[in-house]
Amino acid sequence: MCDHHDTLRSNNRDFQEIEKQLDRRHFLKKTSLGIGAMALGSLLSADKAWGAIGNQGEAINNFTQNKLGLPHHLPKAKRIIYLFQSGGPSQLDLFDYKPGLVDMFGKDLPESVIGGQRLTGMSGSQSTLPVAPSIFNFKQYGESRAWVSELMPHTAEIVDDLCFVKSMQTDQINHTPAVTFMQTGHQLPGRPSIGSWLSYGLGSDNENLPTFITLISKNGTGQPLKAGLWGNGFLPTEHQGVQFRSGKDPVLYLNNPDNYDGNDRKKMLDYLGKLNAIQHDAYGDKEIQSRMAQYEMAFRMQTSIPEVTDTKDEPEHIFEMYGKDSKDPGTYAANCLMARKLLEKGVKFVQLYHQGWDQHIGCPGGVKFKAKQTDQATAALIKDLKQRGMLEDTLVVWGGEFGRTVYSQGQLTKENYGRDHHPKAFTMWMAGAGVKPGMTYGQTDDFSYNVTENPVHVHDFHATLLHLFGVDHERLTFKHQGRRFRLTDVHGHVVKDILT
Amino acid sequence: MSMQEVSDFVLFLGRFHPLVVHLPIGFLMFALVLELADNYTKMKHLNAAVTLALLFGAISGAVACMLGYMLSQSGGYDEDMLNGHFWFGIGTTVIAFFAWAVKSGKLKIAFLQKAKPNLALLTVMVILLSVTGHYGGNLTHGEDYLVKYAPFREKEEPLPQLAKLEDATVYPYLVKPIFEAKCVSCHNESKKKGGLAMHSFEALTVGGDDGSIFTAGDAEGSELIRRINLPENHEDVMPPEGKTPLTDQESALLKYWIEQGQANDLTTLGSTEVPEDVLAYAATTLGFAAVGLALGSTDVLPTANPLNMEVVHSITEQGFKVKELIDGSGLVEVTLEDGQINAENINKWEENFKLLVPLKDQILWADFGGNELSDAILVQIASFTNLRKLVLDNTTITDTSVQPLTTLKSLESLNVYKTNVTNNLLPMLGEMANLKKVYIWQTRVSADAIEQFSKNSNLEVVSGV
Repeated sequence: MCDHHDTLRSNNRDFQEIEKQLDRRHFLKKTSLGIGAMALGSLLSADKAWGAIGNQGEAINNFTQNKLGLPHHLPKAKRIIYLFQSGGPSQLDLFDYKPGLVDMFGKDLPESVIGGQRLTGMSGSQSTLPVAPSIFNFKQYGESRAWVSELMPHTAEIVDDLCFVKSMQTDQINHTPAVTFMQTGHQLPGRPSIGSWLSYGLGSDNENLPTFITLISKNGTGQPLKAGLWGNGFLPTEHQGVQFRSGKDPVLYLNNPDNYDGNDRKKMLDYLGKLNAIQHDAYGDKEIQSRMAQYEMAFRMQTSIPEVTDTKDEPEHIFEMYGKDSKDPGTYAANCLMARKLLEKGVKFVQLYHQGWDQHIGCPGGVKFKAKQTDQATAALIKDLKQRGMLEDTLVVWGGEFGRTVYSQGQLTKENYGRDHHPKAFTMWMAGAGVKPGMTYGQTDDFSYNVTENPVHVHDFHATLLHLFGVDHERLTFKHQGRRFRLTDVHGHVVKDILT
Repeated sequence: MSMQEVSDFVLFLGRFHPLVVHLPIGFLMFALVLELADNYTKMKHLNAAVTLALLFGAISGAVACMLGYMLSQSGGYDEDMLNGHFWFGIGTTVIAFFAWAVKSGKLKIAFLQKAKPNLALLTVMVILLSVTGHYGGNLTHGEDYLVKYAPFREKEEPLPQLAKLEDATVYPYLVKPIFEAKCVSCHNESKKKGGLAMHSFEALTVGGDDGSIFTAGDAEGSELIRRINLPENHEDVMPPEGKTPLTDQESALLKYWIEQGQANDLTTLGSTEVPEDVLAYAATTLGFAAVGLALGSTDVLPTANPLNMEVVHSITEQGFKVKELIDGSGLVEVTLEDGQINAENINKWEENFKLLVPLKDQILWADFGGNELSDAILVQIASFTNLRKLVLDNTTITDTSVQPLTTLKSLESLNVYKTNVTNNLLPMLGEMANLKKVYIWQTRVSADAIEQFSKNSNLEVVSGV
């Protein structure tokens, strides 16, 4: 088979191998130095090292010893669930309590606070930037005395398990670049997402399920999400996030069609695998291997997915805890419950998205609605993980791509205001594995506009996240287009203060 | 004389001195060998060759002297030693010419005729040659180069063995060995290339011809860091092209030493914030097995043997999963998927658990949740001396089977959620000194009992929330 290709090639087997695995840049670099036996040898062995990426082969042998020298230190986190609140939740109406603003109602935000910052086109042309204090009541909760607004009554119950970071900062002021930045460490599409880096670096804990799964609340409104946010970028394709559908069947076509019992499917896949192997031998394209791995994964998912997505064995009190939405597949609450089940089965990274936190107008009503959709299930997830003993090695992250402005976009009234995008200060929280519980870190000024203490940049957040997984963010790299890339690229400091 | 006054071409030629200098050494040594052979063996025909060897030896010696003088113009050599080398070199060459003249009969000295003049002259010459060579070697490699590894030498006081990594003073334990391996051969007491010596901390602070080599606290602004990070073919790169460059870790360590360590000889690792890669390097260099441990953490990881792959294979073959927790540490997590052990195969699994014994000191985390576990299996688990985290949720364990676990003094977290343990579990927990968290949701432990227990214990008992 494929004999017609071989006539074009050298008959030397090693040379053929190299020829297939090299990209143009690599080829020119190596040949310009002259291909000696030494160069050939080192090239081949280097390629073998890359070939073992992701430990897929190793994991199936039940032993994971990482080819990348990972973990660098003892991990605290074994898995993560990232509750991404897409759109930019208003920190001013949820967690960052600024009582002094009441006296400033309607006054123009002083230039000394704005500090010459370039505003968006949506509010930058307003004649005034009137200060809009939150209309919601705040109270302190728990032993940690954390401030939470009345919109998050359930979150208020679990503050002693959370670590609020009130001093988050990002570089991006608009949604697509900001979400991309938050998920991949760079504002332009094309870099691997956090989950892909973890999958690449640490491999799989359950070969029957994807390492990295994305769940999106159904009927999402507002800014769109795109697959690049959970994409593998330049990492091998099997490390991309697998998006589940938000509905009754999270993965389609798992059931066999009528009148087909599926008994010979494995045989069919084995033959397909042989054909693909021939193709790979001829062309050496690593994507063929990725594709083969994906077929195999899909086959295993036929049995593993129905088991893990079926919630009929969940007792009633669990549904009650997550809220009534949790029985409605595809909702945020149902996704939180499914996320827990996935994590229990050894999925390393579950990425949830809930859209619609983009309250340019009608902020109070909008935030209230979004909080109602998410608050109970979020708190339930923390409690549920905790009672199962999983919170101590599961990292939970809650947050959006940026915050919102203290001034009103559009008209300010006693009951209503809008808030524009604000990258310079916003609130996120983390909980679980290795993060100090009951802590509030960082501070903003009286307007929640600038960070006054302990700023945490998105890169720092990424560095800290990797640190919790036992990864030194400076040493998890991938060479692409002639240079080594990291999730944090050339930035990032681990926020040691919030670590246990 | 300083470098600026000497033309580049002279310096260029000067660098050929170490090359040419070996010619007279060879020729003249061989002249002595030939002379001895002529006198004491039957190989009389070798006599004629002595003249030729001496002539070439003398000429190449003269050339080497000239080149050597040129090289000395580049500066940086110990004055006294250089003078010695200079005069002994010239002396050797002069004697070589003299010996040649005598041997070839161009010079006849009557009173020498009876005393085997050539042999005497040649012996003197070779002695001179050796002295010159020794001086030259010292100039190039440093004074203690030759005898550094000699047997019976007076050994340098070794640095005391460290109890804790934190206590390591950065300069003597980590920085100095790098300088000694990669820098001191050209920057030492006797040979100060660029006017810089690096053999001692005092010498470092003095700096070189261009001034100080580092600014405490400012690695980027330090000449030392700039020079070691230049591209490999850059004119100013250190160590120069052809010598072994610093590794990334070594260079990171120096950067850390200057920046966080304030380029001080007393700074300890514990007193500074140490980047992870530097810490990893320090741990491996100083023989601390607990790589990957965050510094300042009171958490000391047990030292473990490297993983025995045969053992690992025998275990994974049975269905256990083994994962190394820190690369190269030998410390592992062992897990078993749900539903592997049931009433039918439990006898086989009791045997399987015995396979874990060789790893018993290396297992830090274990998860056997969702399986039928017999008392015999629990006894095996109780032998994992360094176990910190144990997950036994959804298993068939009872109070009796938990009893052996009380010997686990390192255990920090125990998960027995959804099992048949009862109130009797609680007193056992008190015996585990390090236990911090226990998960007992959906067991027969009553809320009252927990409340009672929690009054006298700091242990966090997590039941339903």
